[in-house]
Amino acid sequence: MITYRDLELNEDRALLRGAVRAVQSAHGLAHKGPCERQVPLGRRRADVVMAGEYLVTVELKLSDWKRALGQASLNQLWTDYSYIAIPESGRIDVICAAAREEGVGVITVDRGKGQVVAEARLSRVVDPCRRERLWAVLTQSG
Amino acid sequence: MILVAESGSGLSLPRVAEQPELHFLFANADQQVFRATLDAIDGLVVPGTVATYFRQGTGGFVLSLARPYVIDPRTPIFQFGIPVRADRPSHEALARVCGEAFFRAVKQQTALKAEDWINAAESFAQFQLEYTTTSADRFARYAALLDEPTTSPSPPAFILPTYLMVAPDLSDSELVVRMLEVTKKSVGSRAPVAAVAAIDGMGGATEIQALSSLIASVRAARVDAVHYWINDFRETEASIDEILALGSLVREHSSTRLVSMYGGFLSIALSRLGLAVVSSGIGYSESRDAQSLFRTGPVPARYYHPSLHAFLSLDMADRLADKAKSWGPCVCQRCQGRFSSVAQMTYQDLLAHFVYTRVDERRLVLDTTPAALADQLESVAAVAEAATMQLVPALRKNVRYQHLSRWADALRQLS
Repeated sequence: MITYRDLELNEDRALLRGAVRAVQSAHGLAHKGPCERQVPLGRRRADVVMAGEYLVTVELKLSDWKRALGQASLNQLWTDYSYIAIPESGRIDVICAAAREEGVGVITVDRGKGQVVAEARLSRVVDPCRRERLWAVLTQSG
Repeated sequence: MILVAESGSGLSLPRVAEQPELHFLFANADQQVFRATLDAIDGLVVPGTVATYFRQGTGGFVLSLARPYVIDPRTPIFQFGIPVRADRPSHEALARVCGEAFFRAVKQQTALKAEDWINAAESFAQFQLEYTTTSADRFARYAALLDEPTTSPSPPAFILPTYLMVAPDLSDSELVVRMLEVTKKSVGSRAPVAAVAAIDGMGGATEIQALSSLIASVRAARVDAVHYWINDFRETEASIDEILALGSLVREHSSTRLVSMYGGFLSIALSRLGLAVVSSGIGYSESRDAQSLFRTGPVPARYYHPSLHAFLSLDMADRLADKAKSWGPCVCQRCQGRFSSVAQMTYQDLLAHFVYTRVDERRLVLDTTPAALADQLESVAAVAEAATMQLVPALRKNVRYQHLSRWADALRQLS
């Protein structure tokens, strides 16, 4: 479980904090709802998984947004919504266009404040078996 | 499937032209999968480490399966040394069976002398000959777990000599032949003896030609079969020249019962040219690096793609399936179209799927002319490329399909 003290610690955490709060706001997730870091998705790990009415993953990357997009694309098998969170960038239009094509959302974070600049589409490839397994992990650890 | 029921020196076995046998490496954790897929397994390869360390457990289980088996001495593990941190009791058990001087040298990490290797050949041959009497305490217990009626324990189908991974300049080949001769002498007429021809290097066409010379050297000792191993040779990365060289090698030695110790679909396809047996682990070990033989661990959960003839991570397999719907769900004997997503498969399902897919691959090779097989591989490559290009760029490198076109080209040239 991510503690809110975690979210205040350093620059990486600023990205995390901004991303988490942007998702909470965009998807109406409770501030104290299940929110885990480094959650195993098979042999991979998602940076952040949050749960409420929906399951949402966020891949955090300070650089290499393409890699983040690849991971987020795989995360769509596991959760209803999938995001990447990156620092503000001059290439945001290119990044948003590539992400939209995949249905992946984009969050930009500046000084700990996150903003959804491209909304994630409800995943059309989410696999009930994977989702259920992930839900169980989140529930157990919560 | 050929069953080697007789023994005797100079035994001439009929070569199986109609289909290659499928042999699987036995790891101690595989028992459940072996039982579940026994109908698809023609034979077993028991690594020397497993056979010596888990002596009674492995012996009882392997013998109860009533399948032809061989014990692979795996002695290159000592040739390249084992990092101290990776030293395990199973390595020690294997070294002990190779004789006192051999064991002492391994323990003290001193260089093994030619004499140590020669003595090891004799000791290990005796170990294999006595396997049914020294390692069968739990035979009855394991036999009772099987549905099939059991017979009394059989000796290894072939006795394998201790061996070395030989450099492409063939500098160690003389010692390899000497170990083979010592093994033959020690075994006498009690069992068939096979040779092991293992070649080091980069797996290029030159190394494959060196392997051909090594096979010729060990064949001269009049063996009943030759097991070959090209170090770390990955079929999916092989160039057309390497495949052509391998095909020529198989054709050149087709009068011998040739066994690929670590092979995949390409090796099965080469059975058309005379390869008799293809062996691999269940879900792993389609290639093997001798310098990492000490590495062990569970088989990762991954999906063997029946059309790509290659492994994919589970997530990649489902993402790709979404883009290439024409492939549909797997219909192998285990899957039978039941799984719309590979995430629905248990770990055991994934391994059993691999075994039955391998059986299907063999059938495909047998039922298809080389030219038609090449066309089919090309057509799969085209579908895979189109599907892969629909993935985000960062994921595309995770899908291997380029080998299919190379295989197709080489198979056309070889046919």
